[in-house]
Amino acid sequence: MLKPMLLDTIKKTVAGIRFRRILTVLGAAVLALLVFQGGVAVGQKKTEHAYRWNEHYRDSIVPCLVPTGDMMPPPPLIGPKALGGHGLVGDIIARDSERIILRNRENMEHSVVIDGMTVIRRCQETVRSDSLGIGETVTVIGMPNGRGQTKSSFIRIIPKQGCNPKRIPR
Amino acid sequence: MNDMKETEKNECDRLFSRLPPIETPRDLLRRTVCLIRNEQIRSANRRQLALLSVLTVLAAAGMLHFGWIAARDLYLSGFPDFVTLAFTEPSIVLKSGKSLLVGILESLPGISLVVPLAIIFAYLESVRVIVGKFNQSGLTRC
Repeated sequence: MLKPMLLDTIKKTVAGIRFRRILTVLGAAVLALLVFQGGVAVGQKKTEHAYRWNEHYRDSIVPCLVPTGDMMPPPPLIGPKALGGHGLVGDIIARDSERIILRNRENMEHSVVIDGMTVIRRCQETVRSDSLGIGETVTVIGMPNGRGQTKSSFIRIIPKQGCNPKRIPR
Repeated sequence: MNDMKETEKNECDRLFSRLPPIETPRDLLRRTVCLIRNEQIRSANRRQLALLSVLTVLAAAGMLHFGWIAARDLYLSGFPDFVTLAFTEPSIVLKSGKSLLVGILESLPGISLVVPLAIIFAYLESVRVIVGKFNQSGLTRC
């Protein structure tokens, strides 16, 4: 006798608008917390990398740039220009056998380490690391190596004329 | 002066007393109330329309300014390049999906995007409220 009554009460409560509101608020809170935690995690990674980059700027970037005299002082550590270490877009301004120096669109230099595992593509074609010439624009995906550099796993060379240049009519 | 007014009044009274009596239209009150109500509705609608116009101009100006900043920050961050990479290189998604995802999130210029999105949201919400108050069906034939 008691059980059907209890079940009925629960059914009524669950179907009510107040219960739906509670569920909505809970769902929104969970979503907001997840987004917030995601933002904190990404921000932490970015800031940590920016700190390492600043700390190792003289060791990892300056030696490559000094011969050409093309050097700028590191910007303030924390700020809107904090670098991300997982993805980079920029022009190659210097290179040696195992790394390239990129200057991104905000005029900041970044050292990218290349090894045998790095896949380098020009459009859809896989190319050798020799193809990374000074002045080329590249998109780099990789992981920060804790010394302010990015250990690249993938580099795409972006040709100046695009991947599908229009054919010139004869 | 007062004498003149008094004379005019008397003459009017005399004129009306000679005319046959006219019966007040039955629905005079209803029509008067209806016309007043229509005018009130039209006046309120004009106010809503003016408010909507001002809001549209403000929202357009805000969008131009902050939209340009957002577009510039998007270009500088390289965000579109990473998204393009995700769609054109399936191998990188499989091989370095986590790095690509974190790279995309790191490059997302959140603050620059939040402002124009907030402007769009506020404008659309205002349009919804104002259009909701816009009373076209309340107008009746009198």
